[in-house]
Amino acid sequence: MTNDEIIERTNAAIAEEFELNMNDLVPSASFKDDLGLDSLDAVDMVIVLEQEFGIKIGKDPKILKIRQLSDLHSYVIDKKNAFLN
Amino acid sequence: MLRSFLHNLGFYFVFLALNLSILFASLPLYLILRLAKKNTGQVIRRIIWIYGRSWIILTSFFTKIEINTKNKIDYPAPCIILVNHQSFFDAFCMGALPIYDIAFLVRSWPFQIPFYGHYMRSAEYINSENVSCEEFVREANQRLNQGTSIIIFPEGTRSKNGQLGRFYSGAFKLAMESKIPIVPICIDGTGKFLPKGKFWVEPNPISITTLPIIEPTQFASYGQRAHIELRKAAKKKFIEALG
Repeated sequence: MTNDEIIERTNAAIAEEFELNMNDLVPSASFKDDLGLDSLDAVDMVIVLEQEFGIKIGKDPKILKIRQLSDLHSYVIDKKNAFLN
Repeated sequence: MLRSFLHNLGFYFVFLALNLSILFASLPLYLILRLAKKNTGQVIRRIIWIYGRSWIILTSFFTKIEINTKNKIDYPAPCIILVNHQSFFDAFCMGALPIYDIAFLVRSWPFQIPFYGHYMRSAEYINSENVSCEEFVREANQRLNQGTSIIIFPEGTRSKNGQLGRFYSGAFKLAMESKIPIVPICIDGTGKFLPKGKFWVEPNPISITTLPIIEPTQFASYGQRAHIELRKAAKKKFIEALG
């Protein structure tokens, strides 16, 4: 799976889970200010990504520090690559 | 203006009188219900239900309240009760239900409210914040297994503009995992009666309506997406009910 495919699947999964418009999912989008997501959504975010990519995130402190979409993309790409290696 | 002022004066006088009454009545009520072999959580939930029912009766002197919450037999025991959220007053509206053994799913901050927080902890309400999905499902299943129904506001917070907000997934994941039926309850009018962030009440008709049950087992064929389809179906019911 290429990085672009990971980004596309990440966006599609969170758009469906959080009832978001795909057009709003630009890399610089802030989860809180632009997408209206909050701490309760962090729990759902972990499950969505674990299901979508078959990775284990659990209570990884790194994901709690993510504030914008591009950081989430990088996080998932790193996780996926680590999983494959 | 004077009429509105008098309305609010009366409303908050009733608020104070009712809170004091419940405070003093709690101990004898607690002892009576304990003698009836109810556990502490059940007893406090019953007292809270009586408090909510008292609110409904007293508020009906200030504004029209239309109750269509059916009968006890229409609520599977236990069930997951979904309620749209327009106002702080919505919690009191649960006194209009014909069942009382119900625990709320709430965020962290309401547990800090003086008076209410103590009762909420004693009633074994579930804190939805700072827990993983597994922890939430485990704790919710404990309540369901003991026959206690759970009330969830799927929007997570009160609407600022009266419009139905985005639904969080927790309630629907719980329903899919536990296979417990969902009973949607549509509240309308409380957002104008006591809007979010305001303390000034405005007489405005309120309706509390129980909608048809949704069986999560009907969505099992969607696999991993089941909770999303269940969420969409539930939201559609509220949209139709709110018109």
